[in-house]
Amino acid sequence: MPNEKKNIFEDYLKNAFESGYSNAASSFSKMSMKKIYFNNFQFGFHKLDSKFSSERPLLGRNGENILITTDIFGDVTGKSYLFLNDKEFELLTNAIPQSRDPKINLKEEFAKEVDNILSASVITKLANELKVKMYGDIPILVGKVFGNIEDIIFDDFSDATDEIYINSIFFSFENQPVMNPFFIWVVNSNVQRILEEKITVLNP
Amino acid sequence: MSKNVLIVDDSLYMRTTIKDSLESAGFNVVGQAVNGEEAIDLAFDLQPDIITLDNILPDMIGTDILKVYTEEGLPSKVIMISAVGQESVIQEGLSLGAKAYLVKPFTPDQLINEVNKL
Repeated sequence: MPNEKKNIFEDYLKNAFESGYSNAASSFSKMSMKKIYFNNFQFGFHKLDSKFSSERPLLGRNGENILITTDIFGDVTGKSYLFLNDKEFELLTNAIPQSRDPKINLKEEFAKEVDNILSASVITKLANELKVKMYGDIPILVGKVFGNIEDIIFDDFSDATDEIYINSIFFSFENQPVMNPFFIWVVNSNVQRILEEKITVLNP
Repeated sequence: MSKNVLIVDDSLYMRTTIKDSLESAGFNVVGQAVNGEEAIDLAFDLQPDIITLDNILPDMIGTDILKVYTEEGLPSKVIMISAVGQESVIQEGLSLGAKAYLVKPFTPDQLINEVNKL
């Protein structure tokens, strides 16, 4: 993709996602009854080639994390990833009681619902802005993952032949400096076609 | 007499939260469905007064379930409860017969307030 077009697309998506992440932070605040912000917003189009994992700056923290994912479907497709370390998971779910049924883990169910609402909050703003239909699938608690986030993305989007759009944020909780869940979105190249049609400067 | 409610949501956490909220307010939760097939079967079997319907289920979209309810003449009143808050989806749900659309996250009071309006 030519750099000029890429810059226009990135700028447009930056604004749309900022609105989405604001909505997600607001929803997260309502669910946790704490003031929550987002920061360290990184974004850009990337080609998933052999250099991706080795040359990309680290998208977020690495090491051991609990991962919850949501597949995005509709006119724009992709996937969201919510990473929580053990401490964050514990703090997020400490108000959720254990179920009397040993087969049910209400804390994990709550964490999945958090992911569902965060993803949907972003989707809502993004879909309204792009005037497309988008949905989040059922959240999947992948469990504990290790290693580079870039490698996980590489595996999930190995079929992508064109550049994909990746952005990420950290949530921060007021008065809880150890709470910094990492939220990352990967959008397939089909968003480029949507943007081509939408951005009038590209269609004089 | 308390009204009977069917809860449709794939999330166990949400079903538990909705059930606790409704029962605290005097509603009678008569069933819970975790997917679209159950949502249709239980709705016609139980004929509840009210159905809370999630929009994204493992096998169906909530608005498609609403179409079935409407086409088959189900008398239950439906309130959609979903994290999907897109204006177009909300309008689609309401135009297909939902009496209200509540966007997650919500407080128990918001839920009860909406259900009491039905």
